[in-house]
Amino acid sequence: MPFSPKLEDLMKREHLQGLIGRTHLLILRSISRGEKCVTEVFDEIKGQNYITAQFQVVRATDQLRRLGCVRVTGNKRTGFMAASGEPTYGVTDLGRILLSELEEKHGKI
Amino acid sequence: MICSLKKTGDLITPTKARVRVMKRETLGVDVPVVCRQCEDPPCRDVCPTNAIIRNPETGAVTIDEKRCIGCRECMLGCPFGTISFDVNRGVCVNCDLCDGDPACAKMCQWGVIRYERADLADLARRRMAMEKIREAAGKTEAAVKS
Amino acid sequence: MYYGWAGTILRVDLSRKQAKKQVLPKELVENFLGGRGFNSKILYDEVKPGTDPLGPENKLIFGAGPCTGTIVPCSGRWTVTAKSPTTDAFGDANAGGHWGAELKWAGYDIIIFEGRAEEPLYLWIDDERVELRDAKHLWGLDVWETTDALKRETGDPNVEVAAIGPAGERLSYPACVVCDYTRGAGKCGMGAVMGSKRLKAIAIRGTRGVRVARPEELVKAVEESINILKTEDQWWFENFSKYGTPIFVMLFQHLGALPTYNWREGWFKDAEDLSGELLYNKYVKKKRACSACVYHCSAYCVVDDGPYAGTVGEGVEYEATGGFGSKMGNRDLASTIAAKTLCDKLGIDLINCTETIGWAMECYEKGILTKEDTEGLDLSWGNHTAILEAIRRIGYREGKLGELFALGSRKAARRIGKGAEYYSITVKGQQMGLVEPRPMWAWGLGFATSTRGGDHLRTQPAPEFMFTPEEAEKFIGTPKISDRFGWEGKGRLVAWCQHIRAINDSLENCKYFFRGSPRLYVEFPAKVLTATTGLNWTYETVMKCGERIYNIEKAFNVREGLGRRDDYLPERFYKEPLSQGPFKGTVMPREKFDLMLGEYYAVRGWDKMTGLQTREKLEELGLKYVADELEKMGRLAKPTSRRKGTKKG
Repeated sequence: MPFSPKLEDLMKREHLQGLIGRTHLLILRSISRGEKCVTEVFDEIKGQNYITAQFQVVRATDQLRRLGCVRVTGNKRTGFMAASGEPTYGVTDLGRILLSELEEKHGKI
Repeated sequence: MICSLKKTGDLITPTKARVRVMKRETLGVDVPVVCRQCEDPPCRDVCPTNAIIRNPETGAVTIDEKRCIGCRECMLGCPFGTISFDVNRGVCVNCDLCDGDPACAKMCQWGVIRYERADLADLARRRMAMEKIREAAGKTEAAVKS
Repeated sequence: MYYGWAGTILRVDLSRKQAKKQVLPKELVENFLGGRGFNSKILYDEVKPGTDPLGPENKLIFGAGPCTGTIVPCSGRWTVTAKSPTTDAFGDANAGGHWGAELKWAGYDIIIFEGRAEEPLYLWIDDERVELRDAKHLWGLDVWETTDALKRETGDPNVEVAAIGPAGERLSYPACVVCDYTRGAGKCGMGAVMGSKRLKAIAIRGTRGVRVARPEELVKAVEESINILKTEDQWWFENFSKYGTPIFVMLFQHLGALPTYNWREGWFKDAEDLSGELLYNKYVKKKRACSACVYHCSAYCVVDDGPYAGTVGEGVEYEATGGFGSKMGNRDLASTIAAKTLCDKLGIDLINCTETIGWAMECYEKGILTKEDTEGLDLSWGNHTAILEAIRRIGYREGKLGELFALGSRKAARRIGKGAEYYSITVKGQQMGLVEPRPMWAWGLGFATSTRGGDHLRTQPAPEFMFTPEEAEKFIGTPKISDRFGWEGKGRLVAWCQHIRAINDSLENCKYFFRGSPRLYVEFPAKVLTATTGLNWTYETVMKCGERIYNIEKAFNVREGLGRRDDYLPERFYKEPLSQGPFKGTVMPREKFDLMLGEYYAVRGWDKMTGLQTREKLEELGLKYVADELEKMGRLAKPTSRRKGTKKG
């Protein structure tokens, strides 16, 4: 079952067709409950859907950003990179649409 | 390397490039050396066949290879050593700014080589100076605080 | 005439002091890609089993790839191959810098050194002109002194030099070949092999250049690949460029994968004192790059204060900041820079060196090595003064301890006995790259099955922690590989990565260009190879070459008597759970490892029980003659029914 036309189009443009799934659902749901940086999202969702490393979430979140489903909202000092900060992310309207389509596809995991 | 590829068509070798990077590894120094496009080019002054002109369309200092006799006097005239001699074709070569779209500037990922308006080029140096001042001020502030 | 490849092999007989040029055969070009691929094939064909690695019958082969010396991103690499004294089997080492590009510009793909010189020599290559010159006056100089001397002697400061230091001259197993002052081709004791041939250095000036078949296509492919890297791997591109490999100290600390106290732990309480950010802010004065590199990951460092003030170093990598750091319980970052520079000058491999000293430190802690054995050196954890002195003794093979260290940790441990072998963390004799395997199972399998012994670069399964589970499913076949602590799918992942890395090493691309984005792994090599060489490559044909290269290296090892029992990690990783940090309790049970190994052998089309190659697989790869030879030796597996592995992409 494909996504809605606008999303499919964006995914095609970003070479992400067939690559958006449960991981992105987990991330979107986490961020939709409040703006977070990647390590906070990771701490929440790790262990689910085979996710075991921050980088997996870094890249998946970046994929969502490229699709326009999340956007950078600020910066936070965390221990992930000792000195520099991490961006925080918030969900966009398009992101909420993707979230509901993903929940329909994969169930509320 | 992109320079030599563009200028020769299919060969990559720094010796055919018009921009060369000089490096001193143990000092951590790397400097790209390329034609300065001097307003009053010494190379043009010493050329016996008037092969070096300022291209009326692009403004670049260019060597007319048909007139060049390969005497290499221009290489001695250039204070920066940016002109090189093509041993296969027997003529001197230098950077002609690729008709206004320099390949090296496009390929450089870090903005070390930039193609910009000459009257605004000093901005980059001033920005660097400002950063240094800001850094020093930050350090001083930290010293005062502690 | 070739595009990309130079088309010439330089064969140098050091015993007779002669050099001759040979045409690069089409068979090599079409089936083994270049660089490491060429070297491995030649080694298999020309070095017979049982050859003494430090004897004149061994061959030392230097190779660069078709893309080396071109604008293909991060293509400035070269490989040196020989039978290794550390593994007593296949060995090779790889380095970056600018030496490989210069070799190609001079007009050569490969140099094969045979025999042994009567007196020290160096090879001078000036385009077509090739000379073996007297190096007695260079013998005894360190690598930096040698490089400077050769630039003076040839009258050209742009000449590229690859040399050995005192360590290689004294046949210390941790010895390596160093080019560009600080780029070490480290693994497998290649420096010792070079020293055994009394070859001090190779100096090159190359002006002839590399010809490109489809220049516009190449420029387009290059620009596209850089764009993919910057958009699909933005975080990696920005942070790796800035911090280089020292970034891994904190990144692996978070994964519980930072080797600490000689691989006892994967988490170091003082890791922040060794972080890449601290290095960048305090010591890095400039970033530098290898040939055609888009990252400039190399750190040029200067130490301004403290006991190591005045130290200058470049290429200060994770294997230095972590290897001399957490692996030895040492939190003094400046000392790791000093250690790195000392290794570069003496021509010592960081991985072999840090492992050997780390092993000695644990033995010292346990009383297996006493102060008498160490000749007064206090090898307590974190004692960086002792670390630097130990490096010096390795370099000059000085004293009882120097003699011991010169054997590398595996043979040194065997000599001592008393349980020292348990603490020698090697696979097939070669020390492991700095990634703790207990929380990173694909890396563990990769170490165990690498054809050159304990090595992370043969596999470098970054996809385990960098692919999203969705990418893992699409490109490897299962999302389960994203679980670092699981065994399923890891055999498939490791085999896939090993083929990709064989391709990287043969085009001669830096593996850091291939980290996150699957598109780069899959699309890039065939695209740039086609544009450079003019031959039509696809993902499938390139991967087939990767598999062929891997199999011929495996066959070399099998011929030397290696088998399944050599495809295991040191006992520590199966037995001892991590006891500190966020992944306390993690261990890799041997039964689970056996499942991974079995899946790996099956995916590879090898015998699932013995790990030996089958005739079916070798013939599929066009290596019938290899199958025939192994069969004669009784080292070929009988064809068994196996599960078909689906390598996706």
